[in-house]
Amino acid sequence: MITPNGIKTACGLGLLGGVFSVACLALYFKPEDGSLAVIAFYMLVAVLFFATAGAFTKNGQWKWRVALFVNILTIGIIFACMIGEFFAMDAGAVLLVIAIFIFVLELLPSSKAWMQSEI
Amino acid sequence: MLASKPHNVAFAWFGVIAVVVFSICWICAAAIDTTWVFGENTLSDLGASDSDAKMYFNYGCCMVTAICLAIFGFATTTYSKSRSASAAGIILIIAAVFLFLIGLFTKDVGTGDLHKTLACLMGFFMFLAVCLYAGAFWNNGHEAFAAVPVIVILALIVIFATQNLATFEAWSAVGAIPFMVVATTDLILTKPKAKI
Repeated sequence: MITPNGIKTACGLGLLGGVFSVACLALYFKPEDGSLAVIAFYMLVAVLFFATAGAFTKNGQWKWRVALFVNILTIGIIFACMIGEFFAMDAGAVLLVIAIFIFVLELLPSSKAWMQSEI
Repeated sequence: MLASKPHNVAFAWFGVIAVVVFSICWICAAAIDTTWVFGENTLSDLGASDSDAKMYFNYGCCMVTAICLAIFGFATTTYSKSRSASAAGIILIIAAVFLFLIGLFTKDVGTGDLHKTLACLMGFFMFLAVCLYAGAFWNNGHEAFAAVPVIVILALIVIFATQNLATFEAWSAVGAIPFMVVATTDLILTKPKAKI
Protein backbone atom coordinates (compact mmCIF):
# COMPACT_ATOMS: atom_id res chain seq x y z
CA MET A 1 0.00 0.00 0.00
CA ILE A 2 1.36 3.44 -0.96
CA THR A 3 2.08 5.67 2.02
CA PRO A 4 -0.41 8.57 1.96
CA ASN A 5 0.90 12.12 1.93
CA GLY A 6 -0.97 12.78 5.18
CA ILE A 7 1.10 10.13 6.95
CA LYS A 8 4.36 11.50 5.58
CA THR A 9 3.40 15.03 6.65
CA ALA A 10 2.31 13.87 10.11
CA CYS A 11 5.62 12.04 10.56
CA GLY A 12 7.54 15.18 9.56
CA LEU A 13 5.46 17.34 11.88
CA GLY A 14 6.03 14.90 14.74
CA LEU A 15 9.79 15.16 14.29
CA LEU A 16 9.55 18.95 13.95
CA GLY A 17 7.48 19.16 17.15
CA GLY A 18 10.01 17.07 19.05
CA VAL A 19 12.97 19.12 17.86
CA PHE A 20 11.12 22.39 18.53
CA SER A 21 10.20 21.27 22.03
CA VAL A 22 13.83 20.47 22.88
CA ALA A 23 14.88 23.79 21.35
CA CYS A 24 12.31 25.59 23.53
CA LEU A 25 13.72 23.80 26.56
CA ALA A 26 17.13 25.30 25.77
CA LEU A 27 15.78 28.75 24.85
CA TYR A 28 13.45 29.22 27.81
CA PHE A 29 15.58 27.56 30.49
CA LYS A 30 16.19 29.76 33.52
CA PRO A 31 18.24 28.43 36.43
CA GLU A 32 15.80 29.17 39.26
CA ASP A 33 13.42 27.34 41.64
CA GLY A 34 10.71 25.42 39.86
CA SER A 35 12.64 25.10 36.62
CA LEU A 36 12.65 21.32 36.96
CA ALA A 37 8.92 21.16 36.20
CA VAL A 38 9.42 23.29 33.07
CA ILE A 39 12.29 21.07 31.88
CA ALA A 40 10.29 17.92 32.60
CA PHE A 41 7.21 19.10 30.68
CA TYR A 42 9.21 20.23 27.62
CA MET A 43 11.03 16.87 27.63
CA LEU A 44 7.74 14.98 28.05
CA VAL A 45 6.20 16.77 25.07
CA ALA A 46 9.35 16.15 23.00
CA VAL A 47 9.23 12.43 23.81
CA LEU A 48 5.53 12.25 22.93
CA PHE A 49 6.15 14.03 19.60
CA PHE A 50 9.01 11.71 18.67
CA ALA A 51 6.96 8.67 19.67
CA THR A 52 4.05 9.93 17.56
CA ALA A 53 6.39 10.41 14.61
CA GLY A 54 7.55 6.83 15.03
CA ALA A 55 4.00 5.57 14.75
CA PHE A 56 3.76 7.02 11.23
CA THR A 57 6.47 4.81 9.79
CA LYS A 58 6.15 1.43 8.11
CA ASN A 59 5.66 -1.29 10.74
CA GLY A 60 5.12 1.42 13.33
CA GLN A 61 4.76 0.46 16.96
CA TRP A 62 1.14 1.44 17.48
CA LYS A 63 -2.28 0.83 16.04
CA TRP A 64 -4.24 3.85 14.79
CA ARG A 65 -6.32 4.22 17.97
CA VAL A 66 -3.28 4.14 20.26
CA ALA A 67 -1.45 6.71 18.13
CA LEU A 68 -4.55 8.91 18.20
CA PHE A 69 -4.82 8.60 21.98
CA VAL A 70 -1.15 9.54 22.45
CA ASN A 71 -1.71 12.55 20.18
CA ILE A 72 -4.74 13.61 22.24
CA LEU A 73 -2.58 13.30 25.37
CA THR A 74 0.08 15.47 23.76
CA ILE A 75 -2.47 18.18 22.94
CA GLY A 76 -3.87 17.98 26.48
CA ILE A 77 -0.46 18.24 28.13
CA ILE A 78 0.60 21.20 25.96
CA PHE A 79 -2.70 22.99 26.66
CA ALA A 80 -2.46 22.26 30.39
CA CYS A 81 1.15 23.49 30.51
CA MET A 82 0.12 26.72 28.78
CA ILE A 83 -2.66 27.29 31.30
CA GLY A 84 -0.36 26.38 34.19
CA GLU A 85 2.22 28.83 32.78
CA PHE A 86 4.91 26.15 32.57
CA PHE A 87 5.32 26.91 28.86
CA ALA A 88 5.90 30.31 27.30
CA MET A 89 2.71 31.28 25.46
CA ASP A 90 4.32 31.69 22.02
CA ALA A 91 6.23 28.40 22.26
CA GLY A 92 3.15 26.61 23.60
CA ALA A 93 1.00 27.99 20.78
CA VAL A 94 3.43 26.70 18.13
CA LEU A 95 3.59 23.26 19.77
CA LEU A 96 -0.21 23.18 20.07
CA VAL A 97 -0.68 24.03 16.39
CA ILE A 98 1.75 21.27 15.36
CA ALA A 99 -0.05 18.74 17.59
CA ILE A 100 -3.47 19.76 16.24
CA PHE A 101 -2.23 19.42 12.63
CA ILE A 102 -1.00 15.90 13.40
CA PHE A 103 -4.38 15.13 15.01
CA VAL A 104 -6.27 16.30 11.92
CA LEU A 105 -3.94 14.39 9.56
CA GLU A 106 -4.39 11.28 11.66
CA LEU A 107 -8.16 11.48 11.35
CA LEU A 108 -8.03 11.38 7.53
CA PRO A 109 -9.62 8.18 6.20
CA SER A 110 -6.52 7.38 4.12
CA SER A 111 -4.27 7.70 7.21
CA LYS A 112 -6.57 5.47 9.25
CA ALA A 113 -6.71 2.82 6.52
CA TRP A 114 -2.92 2.87 6.07
CA MET A 115 -2.14 2.56 9.78
CA GLN A 116 -4.63 -0.23 10.29
CA SER A 117 -3.34 -2.16 7.29
CA GLU A 118 0.26 -1.92 8.48
CA ILE A 119 -0.28 -4.02 11.61
CA MET B 1 -49.14 0.64 11.25
CA LEU B 2 -47.13 3.33 12.94
CA ALA B 3 -43.55 2.43 13.85
CA SER B 4 -42.25 3.97 17.07
CA LYS B 5 -39.52 6.51 16.37
CA PRO B 6 -36.54 7.00 18.68
CA HIS B 7 -36.19 10.50 20.09
CA ASN B 8 -32.49 10.54 20.94
CA VAL B 9 -31.91 13.67 18.83
CA ALA B 10 -34.70 15.55 20.59
CA PHE B 11 -33.46 14.52 24.03
CA ALA B 12 -29.86 15.36 23.06
CA TRP B 13 -30.80 19.03 22.69
CA PHE B 14 -31.30 19.19 26.45
CA GLY B 15 -27.48 19.17 26.67
CA VAL B 16 -27.28 22.33 24.58
CA ILE B 17 -30.16 23.90 26.52
CA ALA B 18 -28.26 23.20 29.77
CA VAL B 19 -25.14 24.92 28.39
CA VAL B 20 -27.07 27.94 27.08
CA VAL B 21 -29.11 28.40 30.28
CA PHE B 22 -26.00 28.05 32.46
CA SER B 23 -23.93 30.47 30.37
CA ILE B 24 -26.63 33.15 30.13
CA CYS B 25 -27.52 32.97 33.83
CA TRP B 26 -23.85 33.06 34.86
CA ILE B 27 -23.20 36.12 32.67
CA CYS B 28 -26.35 37.85 34.01
CA ALA B 29 -25.49 37.04 37.63
CA ALA B 30 -21.90 38.28 37.22
CA ALA B 31 -23.18 41.44 35.49
CA ILE B 32 -25.64 42.21 38.31
CA ASP B 33 -23.23 41.50 41.16
CA THR B 34 -20.30 43.69 40.13
CA THR B 35 -18.33 42.72 43.26
CA TRP B 36 -17.96 39.18 41.92
CA VAL B 37 -14.60 38.68 40.15
CA PHE B 38 -13.65 35.70 37.96
CA GLY B 39 -10.87 33.78 39.65
CA GLU B 40 -11.14 35.66 42.94
CA ASN B 41 -14.65 34.75 44.11
CA THR B 42 -16.11 31.26 44.03
CA LEU B 43 -19.27 30.51 42.06
CA SER B 44 -21.02 29.85 45.36
CA ASP B 45 -20.56 33.54 46.25
CA LEU B 46 -23.03 34.39 43.49
CA GLY B 47 -25.60 32.10 45.13
CA ALA B 48 -25.25 33.98 48.42
CA SER B 49 -25.17 37.45 46.87
CA ASP B 50 -27.16 40.36 48.35
CA SER B 51 -28.38 41.32 44.87
CA ASP B 52 -30.70 39.56 42.40
CA ALA B 53 -27.66 37.66 41.13
CA LYS B 54 -28.52 34.88 43.55
CA MET B 55 -31.84 34.29 41.76
CA TYR B 56 -30.06 33.83 38.42
CA PHE B 57 -27.42 31.60 39.94
CA ASN B 58 -29.58 29.40 42.17
CA TYR B 59 -32.52 28.98 39.80
CA GLY B 60 -30.74 29.27 36.44
CA CYS B 61 -27.21 27.98 36.87
CA CYS B 62 -28.14 25.30 39.39
CA MET B 63 -31.75 24.15 39.27
CA VAL B 64 -32.78 24.52 35.61
CA THR B 65 -29.36 23.37 34.41
CA ALA B 66 -29.55 20.36 36.75
CA ILE B 67 -32.95 19.34 35.37
CA CYS B 68 -31.67 19.60 31.78
CA LEU B 69 -28.55 17.60 32.66
CA ALA B 70 -30.62 14.91 34.36
CA ILE B 71 -32.81 14.55 31.25
CA PHE B 72 -29.68 14.42 29.09
CA GLY B 73 -28.16 11.75 31.36
CA PHE B 74 -31.37 9.75 31.17
CA ALA B 75 -31.30 9.96 27.36
CA THR B 76 -27.66 8.78 27.26
CA THR B 77 -28.48 5.82 29.49
CA THR B 78 -31.58 4.92 27.49
CA TYR B 79 -30.30 5.26 23.94
CA SER B 80 -26.59 4.40 24.03
CA LYS B 81 -25.50 0.89 23.21
CA SER B 82 -22.28 0.77 25.23
CA ARG B 83 -22.21 0.07 28.94
CA SER B 84 -19.74 2.87 29.61
CA ALA B 85 -22.18 5.38 28.11
CA SER B 86 -25.02 3.99 30.21
CA ALA B 87 -22.87 4.28 33.34
CA ALA B 88 -21.85 7.82 32.34
CA GLY B 89 -25.50 8.81 31.99
CA ILE B 90 -26.38 7.44 35.44
CA ILE B 91 -23.43 9.21 37.06
CA LEU B 92 -24.43 12.44 35.28
CA ILE B 93 -27.93 12.14 36.75
CA ILE B 94 -26.43 11.76 40.26
CA ALA B 95 -24.24 14.83 39.65
CA ALA B 96 -27.31 16.74 38.44
CA VAL B 97 -29.17 15.88 41.67
CA PHE B 98 -26.32 17.36 43.72
CA LEU B 99 -26.22 20.43 41.45
CA PHE B 100 -29.94 20.95 42.08
CA LEU B 101 -29.36 20.67 45.84
CA ILE B 102 -26.51 23.23 45.62
CA GLY B 103 -29.06 25.74 44.33
CA LEU B 104 -31.39 24.84 47.17
CA PHE B 105 -28.88 24.87 50.03
CA THR B 106 -26.76 27.92 49.31
CA LYS B 107 -23.58 29.08 51.02
CA ASP B 108 -25.49 31.24 53.51
CA VAL B 109 -27.72 28.37 54.73
CA GLY B 110 -26.54 27.34 58.21
CA THR B 111 -22.79 27.19 58.60
CA GLY B 112 -22.31 26.52 54.88
CA ASP B 113 -20.88 23.07 55.54
CA LEU B 114 -23.81 21.35 53.81
CA HIS B 115 -23.26 23.50 50.72
CA LYS B 116 -19.54 22.66 50.69
CA THR B 117 -20.26 18.94 51.01
CA LEU B 118 -22.81 19.04 48.20
CA ALA B 119 -20.41 21.00 45.99
CA CYS B 120 -17.62 18.46 46.59
CA LEU B 121 -19.96 15.56 45.83
CA MET B 122 -21.21 17.26 42.67
CA GLY B 123 -17.63 17.92 41.54
CA PHE B 124 -16.62 14.31 42.21
CA PHE B 125 -19.53 12.79 40.31
CA MET B 126 -19.20 15.28 37.45
CA PHE B 127 -15.49 14.42 37.14
CA LEU B 128 -16.41 10.72 37.10
CA ALA B 129 -19.08 11.36 34.46
CA VAL B 130 -16.62 13.23 32.22
CA CYS B 131 -14.10 10.36 32.48
CA LEU B 132 -16.80 7.80 31.66
CA TYR B 133 -18.08 9.88 28.75
CA ALA B 134 -14.52 10.02 27.35
CA GLY B 135 -14.44 6.20 27.44
CA ALA B 136 -17.91 6.04 25.93
CA PHE B 137 -16.94 8.30 23.00
CA TRP B 138 -13.93 6.10 22.38
CA ASN B 139 -15.98 2.87 22.49
CA ASN B 140 -18.70 4.32 20.24
CA GLY B 141 -16.14 4.89 17.48
CA HIS B 142 -16.11 8.67 17.96
CA GLU B 143 -12.43 8.81 18.89
CA ALA B 144 -12.01 12.46 17.91
CA PHE B 145 -14.71 13.49 20.40
CA ALA B 146 -12.74 11.88 23.24
CA ALA B 147 -10.09 14.56 22.73
CA VAL B 148 -12.27 17.23 24.36
CA PRO B 149 -12.87 15.54 27.75
CA VAL B 150 -9.24 14.34 27.91
CA ILE B 151 -7.88 17.86 27.25
CA VAL B 152 -10.37 19.39 29.71
CA ILE B 153 -9.40 16.89 32.42
CA LEU B 154 -5.65 17.45 31.93
CA ALA B 155 -6.07 21.23 31.94
CA LEU B 156 -8.19 21.13 35.10
CA ILE B 157 -5.67 18.90 36.89
CA VAL B 158 -2.95 21.49 36.21
CA ILE B 159 -5.22 24.39 37.27
CA PHE B 160 -6.14 22.51 40.46
CA ALA B 161 -2.44 21.99 41.23
CA THR B 162 -1.26 25.51 40.44
CA GLN B 163 -4.15 27.95 41.01
CA ASN B 164 -6.56 28.77 43.85
CA LEU B 165 -9.97 27.11 44.38
CA ALA B 166 -11.96 30.00 42.91
CA THR B 167 -10.01 29.87 39.65
CA PHE B 168 -10.30 26.09 39.49
CA GLU B 169 -14.06 26.22 40.09
CA ALA B 170 -14.64 28.87 37.43
CA TRP B 171 -12.49 27.10 34.83
CA SER B 172 -14.23 23.80 35.61
CA ALA B 173 -17.53 25.43 34.69
CA VAL B 174 -16.00 26.83 31.51
CA GLY B 175 -14.50 23.42 30.65
CA ALA B 176 -17.89 21.75 31.07
CA ILE B 177 -19.32 23.81 28.19
CA PRO B 178 -17.31 22.29 25.27
CA PHE B 179 -17.65 18.90 26.92
CA MET B 180 -21.46 19.12 26.94
CA VAL B 181 -21.52 20.29 23.31
CA VAL B 182 -19.46 17.24 22.29
CA ALA B 183 -21.60 14.90 24.44
CA THR B 184 -24.71 16.28 22.72
CA THR B 185 -23.18 15.72 19.28
CA ASP B 186 -22.25 12.16 20.26
CA LEU B 187 -25.80 11.41 21.38
CA ILE B 188 -27.21 12.90 18.17
CA LEU B 189 -24.91 10.68 16.08
CA THR B 190 -25.62 7.56 18.18
CA LYS B 191 -27.72 4.90 16.52
CA PRO B 192 -30.16 4.27 19.37
CA LYS B 193 -30.87 0.89 20.90
CA ALA B 194 -34.19 1.92 22.48
CA LYS B 195 -37.31 2.93 20.57
CA ILE B 196 -39.06 5.31 22.91
